[in-house]
Amino acid sequence: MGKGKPFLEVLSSAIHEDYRFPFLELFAFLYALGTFVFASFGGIITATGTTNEAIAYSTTSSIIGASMFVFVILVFKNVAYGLGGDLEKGIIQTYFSYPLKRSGILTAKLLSAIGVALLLFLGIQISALYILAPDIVLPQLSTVFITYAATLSSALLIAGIMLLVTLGLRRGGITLVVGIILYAAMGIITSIAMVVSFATKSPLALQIISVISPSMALQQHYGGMSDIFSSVWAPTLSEVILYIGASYVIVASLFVLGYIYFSRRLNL
Amino acid sequence: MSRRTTILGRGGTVLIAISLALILVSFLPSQQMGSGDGITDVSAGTFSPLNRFPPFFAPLNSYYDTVLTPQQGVELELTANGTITAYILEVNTQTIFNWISEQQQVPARDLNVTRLEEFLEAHPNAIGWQHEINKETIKHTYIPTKVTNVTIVYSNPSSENIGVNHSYSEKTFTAPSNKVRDIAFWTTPIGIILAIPWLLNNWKQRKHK
Repeated sequence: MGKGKPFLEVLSSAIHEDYRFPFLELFAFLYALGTFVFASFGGIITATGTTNEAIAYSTTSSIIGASMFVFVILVFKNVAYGLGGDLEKGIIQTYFSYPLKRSGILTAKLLSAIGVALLLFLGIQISALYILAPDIVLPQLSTVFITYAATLSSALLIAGIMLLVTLGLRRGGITLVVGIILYAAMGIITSIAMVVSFATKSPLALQIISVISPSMALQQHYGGMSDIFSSVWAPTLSEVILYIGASYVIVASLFVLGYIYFSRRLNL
Repeated sequence: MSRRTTILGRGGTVLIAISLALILVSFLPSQQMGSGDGITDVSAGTFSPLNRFPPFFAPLNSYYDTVLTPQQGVELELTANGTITAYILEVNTQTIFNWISEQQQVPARDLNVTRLEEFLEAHPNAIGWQHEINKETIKHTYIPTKVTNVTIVYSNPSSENIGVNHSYSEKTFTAPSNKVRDIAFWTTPIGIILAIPWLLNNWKQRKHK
């Protein structure tokens, strides 16, 4: 048996478990519905005097919101119940008997849990952007890419933390609760950072939060917040890219830790 | 069941799910933002933007200028008593007048139809829609694909004065319903064709069990 076959075997089994009929269809329906129903171009009507990049950013971020919530729920479910459930039931132990490295098993599980969800999310979102506003999006593909990169990093960060918690606890239910709490906490911390920055007239709190949630820096860059916050901090595009880069370094570190733990320390 | 059948089948069911969402979105009702009707007189050999003031206000004019996003559109119904060309231009009227003034080096408004043609030649991307109306009534819904200024202009190259009755209604909607419905009508049959073998296999397996 070649190396590819057991990997595909684990991947197809993971996809089968994570996206049982009609879960995939339900989430695809919610992605599409959330993308179109919650798209709002109302805020950009005043943006005719601003740059094309700002309009593209505003358009893209307006359609991400609701679908991002659906994406987060799907990823959390897959990581917590998919991986956590397999650890609990001993299915991972069975996979260890396959002629496949442990890292390969984790890659297959993560490709199913996050990769397929991300593919579906981006596929529907980008198609929707093309349907709704092709003339805004096509000339500004780099802005659209940066907006998605900035928005997705915090969700992937929590997914990375959930992966570590799942591997540590080896249980799905608690991990799902941890993920939901972290997701809610991220919103609360962001609000607190804004209040602190406003009160102290210092951008430090906003800068710190931007390392884990670079969409904040991007929003500041394009003036998506009120003028009060813009006067406190207005990062340049290169600074925003640095924040995005830093956040992905943290995300990558979490996943690398997960791989190291899964490959070397996980005893079942 | 082969892996290929499963992948194609699930792809098909996903397409059906997305199509259902699109059909649902296309049925969401639009909201009216503003509307108006009236008549615009276009003298021989001239052009005129759609005038919102009734003719008895002449020479005062209030030209139709608005800003539309991809979630907003304007429904037009135009009736002319002669042959004119109606344009929806993605600029505001002041841009047209300023450009003509700069070209002519005269501050006064020059409404000669040739000036409009020169403007359109210089700005071909500004034309969002154009249609020749020949003693008839036409209806058109215009939805831009970007955030843009919009104005409606009539061009009368003939040698007689023409009156154009207009009725417009600006609407805001979730998504361009025709476009979304068209996509759904294409993706649904594709989804069904892809899903049928998988669904049949599933049904057979359950029956067997």
